[in-house]
Amino acid sequence: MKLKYMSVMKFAELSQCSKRLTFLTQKLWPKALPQLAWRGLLLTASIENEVQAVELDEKHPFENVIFDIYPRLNLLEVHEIATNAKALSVEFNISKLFETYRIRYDDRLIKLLNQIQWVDQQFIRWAIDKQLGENDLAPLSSLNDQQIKLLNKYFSHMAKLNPSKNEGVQILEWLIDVFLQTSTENFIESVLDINTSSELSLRLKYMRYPESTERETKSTLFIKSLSWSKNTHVRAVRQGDQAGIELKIFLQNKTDLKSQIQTLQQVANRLDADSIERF
Amino acid sequence: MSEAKLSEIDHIYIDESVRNTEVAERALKLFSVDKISYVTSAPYADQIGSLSARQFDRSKREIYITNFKGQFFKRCPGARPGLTCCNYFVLNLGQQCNMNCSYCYLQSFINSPVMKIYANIDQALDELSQLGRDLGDQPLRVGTGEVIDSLSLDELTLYSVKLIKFFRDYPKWRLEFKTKSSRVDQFLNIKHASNVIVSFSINPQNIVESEEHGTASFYQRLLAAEKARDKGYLVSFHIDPMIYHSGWQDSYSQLVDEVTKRFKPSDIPVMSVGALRFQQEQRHMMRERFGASSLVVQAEVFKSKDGKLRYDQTMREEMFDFVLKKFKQHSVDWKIFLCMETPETWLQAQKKMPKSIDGLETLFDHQLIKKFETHINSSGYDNVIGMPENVLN
Repeated sequence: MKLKYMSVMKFAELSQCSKRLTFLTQKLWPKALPQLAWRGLLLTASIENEVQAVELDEKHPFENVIFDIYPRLNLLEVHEIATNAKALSVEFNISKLFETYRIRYDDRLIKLLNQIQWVDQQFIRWAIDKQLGENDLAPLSSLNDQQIKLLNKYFSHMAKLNPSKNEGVQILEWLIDVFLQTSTENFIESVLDINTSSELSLRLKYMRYPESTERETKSTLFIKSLSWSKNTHVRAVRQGDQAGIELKIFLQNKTDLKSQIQTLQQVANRLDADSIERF
Repeated sequence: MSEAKLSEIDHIYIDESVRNTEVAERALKLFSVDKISYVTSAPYADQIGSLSARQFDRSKREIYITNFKGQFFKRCPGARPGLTCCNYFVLNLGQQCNMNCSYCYLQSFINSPVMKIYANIDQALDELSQLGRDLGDQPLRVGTGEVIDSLSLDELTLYSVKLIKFFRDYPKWRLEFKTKSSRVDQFLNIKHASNVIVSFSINPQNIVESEEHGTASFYQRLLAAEKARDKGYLVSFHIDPMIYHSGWQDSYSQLVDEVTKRFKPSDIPVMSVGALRFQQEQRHMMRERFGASSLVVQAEVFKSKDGKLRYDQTMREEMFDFVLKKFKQHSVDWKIFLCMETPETWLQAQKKMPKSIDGLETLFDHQLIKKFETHINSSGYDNVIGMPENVLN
């Protein structure tokens, strides 16, 4: 491992490091770090039986040194370092620290990070693992600390189900929307009984889009009531703002084709008879 | 909630370079000294990044009077601040709005920490005069109200008066104001060339109360429209954005009844109808600023082909169809078009495209229609037609 600020190899006694920055990146890189110290602060995890740490050049600012050690960190990891460094009264420029990682430390982010402090740690570990960014976590800015505390059991449950990034981001937003749109008393705790992330996502979708779900359910029942032929698979689907049906037909020969056309014509006749324009 | 007033503005920053302009001098008369600062650079210049909800709210209460740097009118589509499309020009004499609609697209558009009012309107008028010389006898339309309401701050700027007087020399041109305010009194007695259209975005009163904070009530807007009509101004209504809610049929039915009770089809050259739509990225800001009680925040919207979130297409058709039929029940002479809609929705609701609807051909510039048709023909209706919002909205 070659660090920019380690050009002159110097060592510090661990006993001289009065502060330790608690941080453990989940990334593969760097897999393991030597003990590194800077201005009396042990920056990396201490190794058993070691008595010395490599001392980094003191004249360089904290944010540069951190970036040198951890060149690739995501939003919540940088936030964790910043929070821990602040707690240790380390002198550093928080805005520069974030900007070093190309994260804009603006008013919007400050509010979000302020809310993050109330969020369940299991969820935070999941979010770090999935590399969630500011926009992914933005729905949290709509909540106050009390609301976050109420929601933490749901966040924790979701993290346990370990959804993919896309699915999890969607679940987070729907969860918050549904929570805000219903009173806390009515908030359905039954989602805590759900055992898979896809089922949780589906349940929340129904709760977030009740009227569209009802329309789609009616549509499904209706299309099932139509006389499709045996080799036809029909289902209601949504493509963005358009709802319709998806028709899959298996044909082997011209006779099959003609037969299908006849059946489809019968379906069309039924729609005509009932004056139905759309599925 | 009442219509936003100048007294609700917290602070006015006047750039030293515009200290002696009419608008700056009027600000001195309208605001107390403690609310005014003279500055040599833009306020909050060190503020970085996109506006937070808190900063966006503040930007509605602080005004920065300065010059617009650059050309107001450019002959190139997409150019800002003067967007050109077939001799349709947008004149932006400021940026941001002192009213506060939950669905406002400025929430995903504006990045200025303060509301701007441009003091150099005379430069804009000089540019227009030059355009007049270049275009000869060709018609030209100028719309205001794209990124700032045309009239809600007119008590401070009085730009409406200046523009109406300027347009007297160009009777073939048309000036369009677009507003959700009721502030028309200042220009009612100005002599005009019957080429000024005052258009009001309207929604039922329950929607005004729930979603259009700081705007004039529905009835105040109708009253303002009546006053303008009675003084010979052309008047237009945009029922936009229609917002779905429990009992929406009753609300919009009452709206149609009120409009048709007070106006004849001949009073209103054309009306538009549009449904809720907004950029996806704006939803977080809306949730944060207006909370879950907002019908817009609650809306069941889906990503449409142009990337905006919209109601289900069938639902939109149902809403448009309802309003169109309601108007037609009163008179078949009402001319209504769908604003910012997809070709599919046009066809479903109107059974034809805008060009072939009697009365709308004058609204749609020939070249614009041609562009629209080419787009449709080449896409087989697959693409959403991006009618310039400032043309149709």
